[in-house]
Amino acid sequence: MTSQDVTGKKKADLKVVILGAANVGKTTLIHRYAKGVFSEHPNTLGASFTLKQWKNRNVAIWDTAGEERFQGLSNFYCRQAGAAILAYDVTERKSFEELKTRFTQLLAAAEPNRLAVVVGTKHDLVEEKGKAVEREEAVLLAKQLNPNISDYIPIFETSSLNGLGVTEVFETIFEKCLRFDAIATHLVNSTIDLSAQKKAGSNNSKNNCAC
Amino acid sequence: MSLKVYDIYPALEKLNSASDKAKSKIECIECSDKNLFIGTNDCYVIHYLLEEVKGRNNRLSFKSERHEHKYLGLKKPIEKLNVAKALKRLLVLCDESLLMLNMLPLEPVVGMGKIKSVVSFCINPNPVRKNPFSIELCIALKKRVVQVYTLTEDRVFVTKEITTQQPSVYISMNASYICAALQDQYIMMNTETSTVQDLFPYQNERTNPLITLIKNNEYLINGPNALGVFVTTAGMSQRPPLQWSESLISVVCSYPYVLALNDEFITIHSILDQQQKQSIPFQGGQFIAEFGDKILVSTHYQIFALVPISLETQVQDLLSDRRVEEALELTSVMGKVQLPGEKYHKLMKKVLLMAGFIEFANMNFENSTKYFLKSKLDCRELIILFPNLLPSDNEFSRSIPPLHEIADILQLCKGDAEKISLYEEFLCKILTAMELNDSNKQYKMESDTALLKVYAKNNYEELIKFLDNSNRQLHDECIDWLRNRNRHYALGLLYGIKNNWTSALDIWTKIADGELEDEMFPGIEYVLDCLLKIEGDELVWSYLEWALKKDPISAVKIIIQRQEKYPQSDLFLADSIIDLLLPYNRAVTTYLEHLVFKQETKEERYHTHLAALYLERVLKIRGDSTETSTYKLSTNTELVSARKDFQRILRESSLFRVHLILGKLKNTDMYTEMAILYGKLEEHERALKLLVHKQRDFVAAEEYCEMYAKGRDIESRRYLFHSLLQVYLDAKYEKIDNLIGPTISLLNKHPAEFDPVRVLQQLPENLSIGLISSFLSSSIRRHLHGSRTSRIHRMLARRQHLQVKSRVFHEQQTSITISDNQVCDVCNRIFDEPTCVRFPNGAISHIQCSKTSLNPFL
Ligand SMILES: Nc1nc2c(ncn2[C@@H]2O[C@H](COP(=O)(O)OP(=O)(O)OP(=O)(O)O)[C@@H](O)[C@H]2O)c(=O)[nH]1
Ligand SMILES: [Mg+2]
Repeated sequence: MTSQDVTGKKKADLKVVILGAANVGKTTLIHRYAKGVFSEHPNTLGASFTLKQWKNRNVAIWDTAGEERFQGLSNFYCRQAGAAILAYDVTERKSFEELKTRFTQLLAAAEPNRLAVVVGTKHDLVEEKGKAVEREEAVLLAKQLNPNISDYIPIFETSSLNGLGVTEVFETIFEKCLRFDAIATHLVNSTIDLSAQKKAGSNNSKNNCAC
Repeated sequence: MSLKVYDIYPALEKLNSASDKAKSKIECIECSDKNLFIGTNDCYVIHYLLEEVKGRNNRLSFKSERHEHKYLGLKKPIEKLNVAKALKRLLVLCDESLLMLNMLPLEPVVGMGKIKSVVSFCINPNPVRKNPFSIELCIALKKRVVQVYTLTEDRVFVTKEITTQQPSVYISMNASYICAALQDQYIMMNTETSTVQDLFPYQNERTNPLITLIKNNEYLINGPNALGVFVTTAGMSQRPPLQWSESLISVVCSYPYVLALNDEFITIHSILDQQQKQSIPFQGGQFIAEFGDKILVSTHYQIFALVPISLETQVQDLLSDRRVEEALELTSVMGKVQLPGEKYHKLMKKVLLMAGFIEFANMNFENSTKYFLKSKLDCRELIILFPNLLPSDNEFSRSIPPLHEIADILQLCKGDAEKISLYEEFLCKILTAMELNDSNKQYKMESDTALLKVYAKNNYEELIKFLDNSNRQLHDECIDWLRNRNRHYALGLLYGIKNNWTSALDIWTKIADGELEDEMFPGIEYVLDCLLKIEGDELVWSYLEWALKKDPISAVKIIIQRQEKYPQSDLFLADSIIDLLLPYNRAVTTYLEHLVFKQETKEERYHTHLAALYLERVLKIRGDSTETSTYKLSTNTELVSARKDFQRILRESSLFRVHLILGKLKNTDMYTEMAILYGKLEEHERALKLLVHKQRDFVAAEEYCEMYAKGRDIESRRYLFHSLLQVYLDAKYEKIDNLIGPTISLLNKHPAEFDPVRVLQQLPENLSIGLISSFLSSSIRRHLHGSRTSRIHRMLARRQHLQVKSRVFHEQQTSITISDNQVCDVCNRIFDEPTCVRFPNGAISHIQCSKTSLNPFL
């Protein structure tokens, strides 16, 4: 299931990439999920990377930089991603607009049947600053980005400060992407080797009684 | 996590100009073994021999020796030099032309033209088609073309050509992949399939395009925003980018480090964790190149060598800064990559040990324990830090080079007693933990001894628990240690572990006797318990008297249990034991009881002795008691129980000397006992007389009869009961009227045991018939029953008689004929006279034959 690369490092079973404008809280969100705490981070330069175990599977979570100057690289880091988190700040209209103008196009670099999860961040600030993006708009975007999904809508409103919705984002992604994967590998393993059976068969006929 | 991973040394102090006119500046360098080639700005190629010299104290220095130089005559700076080792040639890029020189001496290769319009070139280090006499060359031309050449001794030809959207400015080829920088974009080309994949854009004005091969299928690219981006040949990234600085000039990789040069610094990153490890200020850097496992870096006039610092030294440096976690991480990450297995484990162990001691010195006991346990620390290394804990004759000395700078705990704690005791507590904990995970088996003695010493000092309760384990290996020194600290009880335990029970018992008995004092001593029972358990009868024997004095009953129990445990032992013979016990009445009684009742000894003297002892006791209690009334005496529970014991042996044993005991009883009023004794002698009348007339215990008298009647035939039973009746009715002793009550009750209760005719004769004439009606009616009923039964018997017998008669008659009806040729069934001879014997089964024989032993029919 997990292949090893030359260094002996485990190759990930799933690559998840998080995209979105600068300061929407991408790094904070990943950190909150991986470490369970809220902490401050400097602006991400280029990209960074977290390896996470989920039910014996390895998941590589790539954090990208939101600043415009890193746009070209973010595209590169999206390659072969099985899932993408599109993050916007629910209190910043601009960050949602930027998702549409700058980031959705990066999904082209990911896997063709990638999952795109729309995630609104900093929900805890709504009371203080007011909501700038209605959930319905995000729902609409999520639907647009995942035309093949009909049974649920991949949209979450989260807060890394109090933990709202954070685990759900990642659990949903792993559940949806690795579940299916698991079934697929299971199918591969359960294929029957005819040649092996043949051998056994010929052996049998030898041992059987002649009558 | 900053770290010193390279040291910098001067390698070439000053470039001597090749021409006299101008001063040559270094433009690029290239190494192959000890050969150093320098390309200058004024179109010279200069050859040096560069050697490493190990001076005193292993101090490293470099010796450079200038060999020859070659002027290429193009008046342009030399941009790049590459050695084609297989062909012993030097490839030179100068003025957009690629030239070939023989390496030694530096001369142009005859018959080989130059390739023109070359922007960048590289040698493929791992060509797909391997041929030791050719090399694969990759060239980016000014046009939008990248070409792959094969270069042999005498030929050079194109094998592949790929057109790109823009001209390439920098290329790097490995195996079948070419990574190239176009004017504003990095790309990856696959020469097998001729496919081109875009990687990511960059800005040529801001970023110097650089591509470094990291591993077979991975490149490191100088990306936008000063990021070192890792790219696999699949066009992906498997590692986060490096944070580089702006305006890089040259990059080289020496796994697992990447060294990047800009005009102010050499920065060194680890590929493994992408962190910057070291930054060396370096003004005017020009070029950086590999030189074996070292790196050369040049300015315009000088060359320096960067020498990797061994992992051991790096780790050591971290440890001297007390950066324990980092040292451990470095060892585990880098050690695995750089060192062969065994060396790695050795280093890891050492680092863990040193880390453990650092944390130890900081009183960071949790971590210290973790590291020590993981490192499988030799416990002596730790114990030796505690003065006097290691046995004085122990030859252990600390490992060299030292693992720490701690002289000892006193120095470490500056004499602070509280701290010292914390350290001692830690020592105990970790030694115990080591014992649990079995890591210090061969130093068990040292470990156990240290534990004992600390516990003896600080925690007596723990000490006792600790000593409750016979596997302890303790140095003899511990004896004095315990004695000096008045841990007498523990000292006894220690002797016990050493199987020196004589000393152990000596100490314990002294404590029990109050000669020594010890609060933890569990009491005399403990010693007695030991006497029971330890081996060596003689030793136990010698302490028996002591034990008897302390607690005779327990002592006897010990004797009995030991006898049961070691039945063969001959020290514990019954007679000698009894002699020993004689002064202790209760003890000897207990012992005899054991012999008589438990072991059921057949020795008369033990039975008699026990009976006599019981009697003595009864008499003593009576004698002591001032009470004379029989009633009061009968409520004296002690007396009652003493008598019960006495009666028990009288009843249950049949081996004691009855007359002897009886003699002792003669003058007492212990009629019950006497009755039992008479019973033993079958003198029932005397016994019954005692019970009836003296004791006046009719119930007892009746019970007496019942007891002796049990299992006897009717005659004996009748004798017994009639005897009692006789006693009741004997007017010699008493008026009959007095005893009429018990008489009636006896008769009514046991009518079957009496002959009614005799009874009627014996009873006084004037007795009311009503009183004995129950006896009479039951007697009559029984007699009637008897008579009827007899009649039935008679009739049955008659019938049997008739049956026999009938059979005889039938038998006599049959006849047998003896003829001349009739033979005897026994001897097979003919009969010569008419008399014969006929057997019930019909066989016939001679009379004499019928008596022989051969006769099969008998
Ligand atoms: N109140 C609140 N603040 C948040 C939350 N998430 C992030 N922040 C803050 O938002 C700021 C930016 O967070 P980052 O995680 O660094 O943002 P980013 O998306 O990684 O930014 P780039 O790396 O520049 O792309 C930080 O000051 C965070 O503390 C949240 O859920 N609630
Ligand atoms: Mg970030």
